[in-house]
Amino acid sequence: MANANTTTKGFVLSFSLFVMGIFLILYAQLYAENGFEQRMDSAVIWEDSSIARFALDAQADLNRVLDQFVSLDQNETNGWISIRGRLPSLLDVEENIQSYRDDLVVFGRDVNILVTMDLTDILEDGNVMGHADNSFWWKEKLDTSRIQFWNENVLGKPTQIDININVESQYVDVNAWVLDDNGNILVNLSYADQNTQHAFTSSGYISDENTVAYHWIFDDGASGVTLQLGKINGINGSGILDTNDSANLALAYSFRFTFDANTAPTRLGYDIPLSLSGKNATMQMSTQWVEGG
Amino acid sequence: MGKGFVIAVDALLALVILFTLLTISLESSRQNGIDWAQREQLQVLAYHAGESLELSNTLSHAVLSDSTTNVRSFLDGLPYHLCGSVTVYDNPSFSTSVFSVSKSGCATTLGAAETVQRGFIVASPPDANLYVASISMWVNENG
Repeated sequence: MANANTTTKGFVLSFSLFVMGIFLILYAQLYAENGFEQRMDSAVIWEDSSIARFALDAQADLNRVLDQFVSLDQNETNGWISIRGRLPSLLDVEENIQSYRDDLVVFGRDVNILVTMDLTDILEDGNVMGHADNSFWWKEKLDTSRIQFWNENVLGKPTQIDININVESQYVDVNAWVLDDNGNILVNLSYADQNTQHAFTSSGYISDENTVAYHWIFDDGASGVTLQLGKINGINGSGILDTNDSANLALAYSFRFTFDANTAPTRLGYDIPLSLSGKNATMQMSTQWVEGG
Repeated sequence: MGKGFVIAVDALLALVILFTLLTISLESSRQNGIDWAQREQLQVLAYHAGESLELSNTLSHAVLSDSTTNVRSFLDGLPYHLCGSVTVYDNPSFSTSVFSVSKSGCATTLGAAETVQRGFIVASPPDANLYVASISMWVNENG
């Protein structure tokens, strides 16, 4: 009897152990399958999001293709937009943007993404436009002879504009602007050319409702360089830097626009429509946010 | 003593069976087949490596200066257990390689390497051309 009880207990313990072991194996299998599927899903999602990464890659290229560099900056009280470039560019911007479009299509095909970059409006208009999300706009001619800027938000004009111009020549005559002590936009202009005696700075206020202009004439017989600020084409607080199609003139420029924090931009980019179609996703963007996007 | 011996053998046998079952369970819970987590991690690393190389102008500088020193320096700075290589093509069709650099000391057989492509601009006036960098990452199987 005692033997039978011991045998029974032994059998029960062994059987329990066996059942527990089977349970452990089944649980491990389920855990493995679940984890495996999650990791596979994560990898699939990463691959499906390839068009987003392709778009970011293209946006990183545009500053260099257009030979213009735009950036954002911000603190608690102010926001800034900086734009710098060269008039005319050393690069053939019109030719390069078309080549870039064609190359991007081929590159997309090789990574299984259908790419469409629509340059129709840009080529017809002859300008590349960009804007920030605070309604600040700028446009530059494809021949890179002129850059304009304006703000379509009446309340969102910059409070200060800092301008640097460095001309690869020297003027023979200059017509300075007349600043307005009662103006509402602070302007700081720093000019230099190949004659060190010509370097100067001009600081003061302008009124966004009136137009002021600085004009430099060079000995190439062309119309010279004009910097206009104020009311241009009916829009207050605008500006134009124009080389007036001077054939033998080149300059480097930079603009830095200061905005109050409540009208400061958070992103800016070029208005170049880009459409991407991947395996399981499609993106259509009319603006390529190169900063803060 | 006989009973004790039987009990001891029985216990040993039970322990052997138990640990065998535990081993089977643990092996089953490990990922088998494709290591999806590792694949994704390597792709993410390759993507960020390409982004860093482009935005720091390292790639365009390497093309213009015909020097891969900075690219190799970047790759050699990867953690020990990670290997990488960068191959640059002068066109989006991947037909002509400009240069190819691998991390020093890494096995040349790539095995389970993950590769991403990234386009970048090289400006050589008056042209601004699209080049393509192919960045590969794999686990260092040395030591």
